[in-house]
Amino acid sequence: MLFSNVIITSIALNTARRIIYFPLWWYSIGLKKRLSGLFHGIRTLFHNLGIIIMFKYLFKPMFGERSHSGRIISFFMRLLLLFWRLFLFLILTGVRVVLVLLWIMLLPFAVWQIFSLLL
Amino acid sequence: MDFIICPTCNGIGFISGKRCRECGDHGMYSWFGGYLLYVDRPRTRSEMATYKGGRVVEVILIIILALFGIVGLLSLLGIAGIVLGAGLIPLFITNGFGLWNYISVSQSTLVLFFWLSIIGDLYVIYAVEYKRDRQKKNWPKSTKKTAYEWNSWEKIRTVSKRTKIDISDAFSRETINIIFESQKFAQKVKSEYIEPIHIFAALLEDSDITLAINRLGIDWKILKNKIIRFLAQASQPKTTRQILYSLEAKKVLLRAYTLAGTKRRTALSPLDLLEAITTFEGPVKEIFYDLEIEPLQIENVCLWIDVYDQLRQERRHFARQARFKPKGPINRTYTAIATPYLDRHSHDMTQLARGGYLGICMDREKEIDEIFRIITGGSQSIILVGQPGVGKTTIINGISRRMVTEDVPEVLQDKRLVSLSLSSLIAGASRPGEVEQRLQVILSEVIRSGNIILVIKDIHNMVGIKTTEGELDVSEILADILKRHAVLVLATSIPSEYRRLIEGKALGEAFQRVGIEEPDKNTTIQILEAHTPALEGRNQVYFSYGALDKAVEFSTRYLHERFLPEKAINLLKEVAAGVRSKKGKRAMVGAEDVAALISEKTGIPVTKITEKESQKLLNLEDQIHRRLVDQDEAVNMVSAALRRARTALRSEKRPIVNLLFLGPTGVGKTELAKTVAEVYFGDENKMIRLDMSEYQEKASVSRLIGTPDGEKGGQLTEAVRRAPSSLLLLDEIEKAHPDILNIFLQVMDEGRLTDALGRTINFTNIILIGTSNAGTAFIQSEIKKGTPVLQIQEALIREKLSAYFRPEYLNRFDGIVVFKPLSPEDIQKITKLMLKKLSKQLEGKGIGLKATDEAVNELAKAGFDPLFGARPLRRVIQNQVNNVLAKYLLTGKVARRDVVILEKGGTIRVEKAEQI
Repeated sequence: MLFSNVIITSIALNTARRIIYFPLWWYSIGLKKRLSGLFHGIRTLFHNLGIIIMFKYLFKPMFGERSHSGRIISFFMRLLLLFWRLFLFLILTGVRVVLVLLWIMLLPFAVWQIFSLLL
Repeated sequence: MDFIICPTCNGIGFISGKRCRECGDHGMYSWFGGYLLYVDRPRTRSEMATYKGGRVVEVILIIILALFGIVGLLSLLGIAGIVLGAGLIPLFITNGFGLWNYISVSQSTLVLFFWLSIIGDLYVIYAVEYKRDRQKKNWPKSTKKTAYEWNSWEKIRTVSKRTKIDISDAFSRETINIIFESQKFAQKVKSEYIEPIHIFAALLEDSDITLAINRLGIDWKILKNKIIRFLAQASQPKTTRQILYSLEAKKVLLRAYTLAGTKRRTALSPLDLLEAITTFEGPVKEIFYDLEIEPLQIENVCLWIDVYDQLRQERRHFARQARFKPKGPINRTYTAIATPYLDRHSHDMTQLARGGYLGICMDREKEIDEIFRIITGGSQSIILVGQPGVGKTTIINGISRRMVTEDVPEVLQDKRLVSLSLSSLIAGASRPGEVEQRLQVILSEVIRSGNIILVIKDIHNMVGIKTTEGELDVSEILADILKRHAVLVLATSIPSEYRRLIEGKALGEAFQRVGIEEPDKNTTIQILEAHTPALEGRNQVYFSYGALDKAVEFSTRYLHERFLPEKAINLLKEVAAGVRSKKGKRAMVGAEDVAALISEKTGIPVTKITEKESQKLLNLEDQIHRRLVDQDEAVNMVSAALRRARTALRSEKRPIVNLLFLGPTGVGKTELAKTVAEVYFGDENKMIRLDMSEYQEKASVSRLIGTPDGEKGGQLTEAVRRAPSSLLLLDEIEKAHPDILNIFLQVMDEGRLTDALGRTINFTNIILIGTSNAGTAFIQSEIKKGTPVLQIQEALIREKLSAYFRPEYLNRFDGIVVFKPLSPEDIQKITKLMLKKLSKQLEGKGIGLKATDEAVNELAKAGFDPLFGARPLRRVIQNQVNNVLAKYLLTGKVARRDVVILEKGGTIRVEKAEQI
């Protein structure tokens, strides 16, 4: 009887400790991870969309078309592509930033909502 | 691995049940990646119950919260339904917050559930991530040794708490259970400490370990019996409540941790424990040693199980990254052009890799890195030179896969690897200059496109292709363009053709050579391990580790024409298909299955020696004497050599045995050779016989090893190449030219010979027997004098043979056997043997043969000639018996079921069978 009591108390204490640590973790380690994830994500997105390459090749003719008209068309086409990719980049980065903001705000907001509903 | 042991408690951490003050119950340390490792005492029963209970509570909590999350979602849907139902969408757009506040008041329960579920969801995220982070925290970031890893206890005392890691925090869930179970084992046998044998006994319950043991082909019953025996030995009368780790167990745990850390795991798994436990001397290692399992085998089996996980992870990473690779021929920067002509004569390897059609490349990082280094260094084309089957294509496939994930140097990024098909290039080209023109067009497309790296497999086939006389051939056209660095080519070739057609020529200068060597045994095993998932899936069988091990060993030893790893892979494919058809689905392919296949292919017995066979080997002399009369020394020497060979106690870098048979003609030299071929290779025709009197000229070397132009293959080298496991009989060896004998010096010493084409022919599975009549007169006169054979042998080697053979030549023979001239008694026995043979022939016709003793004596007498041995006897039997019988058969005097009786005076009586 005593043995099981000790175990139950110990489990309860551990669980309580873990629950109390939840908000602390959320705004320390958790937040740090989200921020580093945000920067890493932006960097990967930048690389995967090939934005730097598009900049570099802005004046390079597409599909080996080296004629004057080819070069002009190519330039505008590349510009269009660049804008499209930049747009995509901004949108996707925006989504990521919003997610981080949600991480920061959601917990207190939810607690506030619950309290305001209960009181 | 060094262990630093507390001098006060001797590493146990406790002194008479109390914590050691010196080390604070840590007892023993070891450095890893700049951290000081120790292992905390084993969990007590209550601690274990708390751990398990805590886990159950945690899981239940997460399940409840996840379910609550669904309730929250339903609440949200309910709210959305109300908004939609009341037509409040426009209000939501114009004044979302206002509407939300309104709903919060009107539907407060739903909203409350929703927010509570949000908090629950956030907690689930926290719980999962927190657990994962905690696991990572137990491992050093780097595995490198640091400068301040002191080994003296005095300095260790000054190390801060932060640089210490309790490795028991890094145990996986399975390992925690295993340690707990091992504690129970220790308790059961009343041991004060958890010993490695207790951990091992507990390990056997784990699923991964079960798999490893099965792969090792160990009999569970035998293994368990051995463990039980050891546990019984280790049991002590003393009983104690607090069970601690023994010094050895601590060492095992620390070692397991470093193994797991080196493999970059996030938890110490049971497999690490198994691997670690066998690296230390002790009962477990002894058990495995007794079961013929080496630590390296265990390491490889653990790696094998890891390989499955690795492959799965690699596949996932590949699929994720492959999405970003463009599907068509155009690159991501749109600078490439369409290459219709090239596309017709090639296939795009990056696209094949992207679609998952190319296999993965294992353990070839060194070669791939070298290729990348050359390409980054000067954008020079590369030729991979290696024997067929060593993995040149696999390396190119590996590069293709890495190009898909863009895990390559910048020069290769956003490029295509396109393999040119030579057959397609040549096919249908009938006009003069057409092939050359096709290649020109293809190369110009490649240059203009700028995103293509050309692969040309077996580039030596390009040399000499031309359709216009006097013009450049296609290889020279290619060389010209390559020298301008306009195109990057990745080519392959084999060493002999590379030397003959490419090296030193224009094409050779355009390439940088990268040698691809045959992988060593261990690497090949690891390559096979990566191949087994596909093979097992296809054939629905399982491979044991022994099968892989033997596939590599036997293919190296007996299949010389091809190279590793391909020949071992092909062998496994064949064995798998064979086992599937013989034993059915889910059967285990064992080492014996591989051995049986090799025996079938080569005729050499390599399977484990059975009881029956060992009896046969032990009675080899009797068996040989059934065909050969007397010559005891020769028979004993040959039998001993064969026993050595069969029990693998011979040198594997020389022929099985080199023997020189000396003696007069007709005494049984060739007969013994034939018997040996029958006994060892299973067939007396497995014999390559060369009459060395035909090689008296120096120029006849080319007949032996072939001509350099390859027109004529060597009589010796070709025969051995075709039948590498046979008996090589060199008749009348003393008559050969000394230069020819020199060739055999190398064969006898190193077991190999290079033919005129530069191919190395393997002679290690040959039994080499030379026969010679040299010194016959001396042998005969000494035998007449009654000199013992050993003495004659010695005198022959010292004095008489030097006129024929150089001493170093005689030295190479494992045995020089003197055959005695035959006595009249021997001839009598031989007569009986010959008549027995004849009787067997007649048996096939349904006729019996009997001979009276007088008839045998008469035949022996007529056939005996001290100069020619038993040879005249064959003629006598032929004339006096065979000829008469032939006539009887033709005239019908003898019919089926009749018995022919040889009688005194050379008469042959026929005993007619009763009429039926």
